Amino acid sequence: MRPASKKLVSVIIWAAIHVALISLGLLQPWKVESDLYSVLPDSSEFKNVSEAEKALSARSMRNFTVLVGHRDFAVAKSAAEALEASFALDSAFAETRLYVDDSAMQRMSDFFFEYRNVLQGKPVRDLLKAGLMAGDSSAFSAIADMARQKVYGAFTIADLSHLEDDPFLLGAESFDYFTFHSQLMGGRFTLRDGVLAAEDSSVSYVMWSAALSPTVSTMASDGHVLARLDRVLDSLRQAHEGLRIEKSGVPFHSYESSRNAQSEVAWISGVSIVLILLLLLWAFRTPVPIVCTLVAIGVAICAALSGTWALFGSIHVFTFVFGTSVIGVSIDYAIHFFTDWKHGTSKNGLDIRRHIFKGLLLGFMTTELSYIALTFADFPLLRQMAVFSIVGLASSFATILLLFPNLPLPQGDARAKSMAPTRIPAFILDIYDRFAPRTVVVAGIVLLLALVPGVLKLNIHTDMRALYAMSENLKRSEALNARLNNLGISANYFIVEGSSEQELLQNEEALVRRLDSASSLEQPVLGGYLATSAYIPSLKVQDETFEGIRRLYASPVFGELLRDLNLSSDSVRVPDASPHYLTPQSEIPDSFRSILSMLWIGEVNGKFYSAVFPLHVAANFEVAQFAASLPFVYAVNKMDNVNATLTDLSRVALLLVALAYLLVFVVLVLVYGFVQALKVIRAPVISCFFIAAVFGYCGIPFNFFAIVGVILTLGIGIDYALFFKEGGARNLTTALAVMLSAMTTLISFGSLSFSSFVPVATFGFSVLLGILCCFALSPFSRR
Amino acid sequence: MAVALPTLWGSALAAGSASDVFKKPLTEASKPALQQSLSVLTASPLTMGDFKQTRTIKKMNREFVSTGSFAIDREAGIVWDTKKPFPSFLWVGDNSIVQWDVARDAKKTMSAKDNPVFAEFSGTIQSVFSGKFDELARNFDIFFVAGESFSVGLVPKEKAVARVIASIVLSGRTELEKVTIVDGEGNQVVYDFSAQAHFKDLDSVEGSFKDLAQKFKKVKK
Repeated sequence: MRPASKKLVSVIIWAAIHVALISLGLLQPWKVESDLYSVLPDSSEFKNVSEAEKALSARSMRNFTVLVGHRDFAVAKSAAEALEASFALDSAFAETRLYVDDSAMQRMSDFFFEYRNVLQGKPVRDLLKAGLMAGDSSAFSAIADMARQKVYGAFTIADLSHLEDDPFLLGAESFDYFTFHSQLMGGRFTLRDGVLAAEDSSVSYVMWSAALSPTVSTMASDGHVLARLDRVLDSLRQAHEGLRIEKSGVPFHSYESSRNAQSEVAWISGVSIVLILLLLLWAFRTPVPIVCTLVAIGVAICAALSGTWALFGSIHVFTFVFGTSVIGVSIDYAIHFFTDWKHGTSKNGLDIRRHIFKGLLLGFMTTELSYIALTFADFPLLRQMAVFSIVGLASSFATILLLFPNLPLPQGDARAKSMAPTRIPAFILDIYDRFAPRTVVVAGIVLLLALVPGVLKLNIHTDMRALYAMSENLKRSEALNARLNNLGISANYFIVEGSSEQELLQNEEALVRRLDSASSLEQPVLGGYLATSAYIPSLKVQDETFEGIRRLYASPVFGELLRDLNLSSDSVRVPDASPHYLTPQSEIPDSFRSILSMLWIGEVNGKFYSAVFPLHVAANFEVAQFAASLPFVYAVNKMDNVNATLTDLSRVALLLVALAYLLVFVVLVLVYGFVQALKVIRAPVISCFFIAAVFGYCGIPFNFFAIVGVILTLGIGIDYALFFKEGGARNLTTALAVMLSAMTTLISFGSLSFSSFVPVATFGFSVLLGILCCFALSPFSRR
Repeated sequence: MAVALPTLWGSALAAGSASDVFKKPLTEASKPALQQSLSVLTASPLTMGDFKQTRTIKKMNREFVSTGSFAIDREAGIVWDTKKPFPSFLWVGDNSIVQWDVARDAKKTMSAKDNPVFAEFSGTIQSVFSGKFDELARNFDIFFVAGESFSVGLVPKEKAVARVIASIVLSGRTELEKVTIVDGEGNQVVYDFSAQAHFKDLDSVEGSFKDLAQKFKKVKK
């Protein structure tokens, strides 16, 4: 084949690979995740109910509340009404709520009357049980006394119209228990002028709550519904002086985080790119390498995005951040190519490729091996980041090998028009050459010994709580909301499983019995709980309640009550032979339906699930303790689970990369022999200990994100040593290329350490330390 | 929506019939006269008396009558000691509501501090029986007729509340003599008060109310 045809084939292969990859990505609907929880790993004990938990989280993550406050209630209400009018018909919302339905109270009263023979609160059920078990007439008498109290006592609002149908007033008793005595009544919100309002520090707050439509992403964008909401709230603030707006709910946190991350990534990337371009311009004194490098980066990012999208169906915003490593490595490869073009002796592009091929290939393989190792970690986000880097790096490698050598690069005078600044690498290499080998060994040992105490102090631990810094506004709003609602829902809760709805409800009841006994202790560890079975008992419990009530009617107490109420037994209806059961499918008043929709997860993969939320828990409350020996109950300590799992994963990821490095070492031994391979590998390995030691000395937790930085250092840091190894002892072209590579990497990752997003800053700082150390040590691997 | 109930419960204690008083909304001109009338409720630090409660259920065409004694203490709250036909004892204080089964000596305490339902309940009862104008004006539209006797009509501002409590009428001359509460279906509860006596405090109570004062002191403990 003629050289021209060979060139064409190379370019066609390069183009075909990229067109195929990018087409694959374009075929998928584009979806960007910003919520870290959605991609977090499942802890081992929690895997079985992972889908159920995700379904629950997805639901709660769409709900939010806006409190509209003013010293004058009328102003607050008017502003809340304007808010409701703006969004009530907006398709981005699944629902909005401001007004309280006038008939809600009556509907609840009707509901409790209808199911009075199967749905009773714990106090009445306990009395019925006592009456049933021991024929305890005093227990039945106590129930009759409750009815007498309602009829003859003062200030009762029990509806007596049903007295002949319900002489024990069990419907009213159930209504009282589930409404006025409910845990949900602990808040400060009351009905005022048709809306829910609460007072705090002389300000009246009106509650407006909403749920985003499931199709709405929480990623910030110009036309995002939360951006529109902010604009409406701003206009309301301007229209009503002194208006206070307090926002609460997960969507606001996700939106704010992604908005901040976007603006930060924009300015950090902007500054990095400008600095890198200036550096390259200074080094090459011609725009050709810069344009080519930008093309290589652009193509690599598009390929990486498409590949990840095609494989995962979505991409997480953190993958983008980690993906900047693709930029770093793409620049490195391009720099090596163009440094050789500019400064080397190669005649044309194919010569350059031949010249740098071995170093580039080894560097590519070692980096890819590190990333491939990461794909074995059982963590979707880590896999996604690894796949993004693998594809991006492969694309970059293909561009250098298949496209760049075939570009019509300027030759001769045009190439040598201006010399690249080799004085600096020459100066640096001179310094290294001044060290006697023995001095180097002694210095190396001293350095390693100095690292030991820092490494020993290392605290390998990931705490997600420390990684998210809530804005002061959101913090204040959340605190106010928690104070006014006073529901005290615990972040740690239970997911209960059953093979049928009824089995699930019975399993819940087993858990609830434990919670009941813990809340009635002298020093209770919880104030109560929210559970579906409290509102919809299992048929077994409903049967027990019904049987108790039938016996109550059959007891002498019934006759005494009729006499006291002057009722004739002929006019009174006793319960039918079979009860009217209550099931999750029954017609339930909206006010309870909204609570149940939060608790009842329903069928997932053929099993049924629900959540039980403890309320007002004490510091020593342990969900796992209550789930112990109940195989169908899963304790969800989300934050601790995630932290523990991320910490475990960090260790697994390090182990996988260590194994990959062992493989790399074997390859290097085969290529260079044992001693030389050791010289190549020592720079990145020592760099990792250096990172660990600095984190240890500084007392910074060595978290998952720092460890990702270590993995990146191992992946790309070995390239410098390899290039020096391949370049020879006094090759200034290589030294310049490595220096430029290191500088660009330090700029791009170093800038990330200024991010206010703690995981990004930690990651950036870790890479900054690692690459700095790698760069400092890699000249020692020269021949 | 459960949180929407407090005002309803609270207001449910106070309400009225299609009495003439509802033709006379309170005006700025009649406000001083109303406050003067309500002052009969606030003048004494401790008022005690007997009551007759008549609960009428329209649908059943039935009346349930109970009798007992009451005490209204400006500081300690209100006590309702129902004696016949079924004894029950209720204390409505600022921070808690206590139902006391005297026969079994069992107290059921509901904290008004942690539950806005009971806080509203307590506040409204005390505002109605102690004549706290500001509290009444917050929750009710007020109507007022005065002559030799006075009538104060109260209609809950909340529509949801109005379904359970349509109106309240307080009437009397030098004492509060009658309270009528009517629900949305026309059922009503009428409290007729008699034998009112005024005392400085619970320790100074003498005569027939001494036993009630003792119970009041005991329930407060």
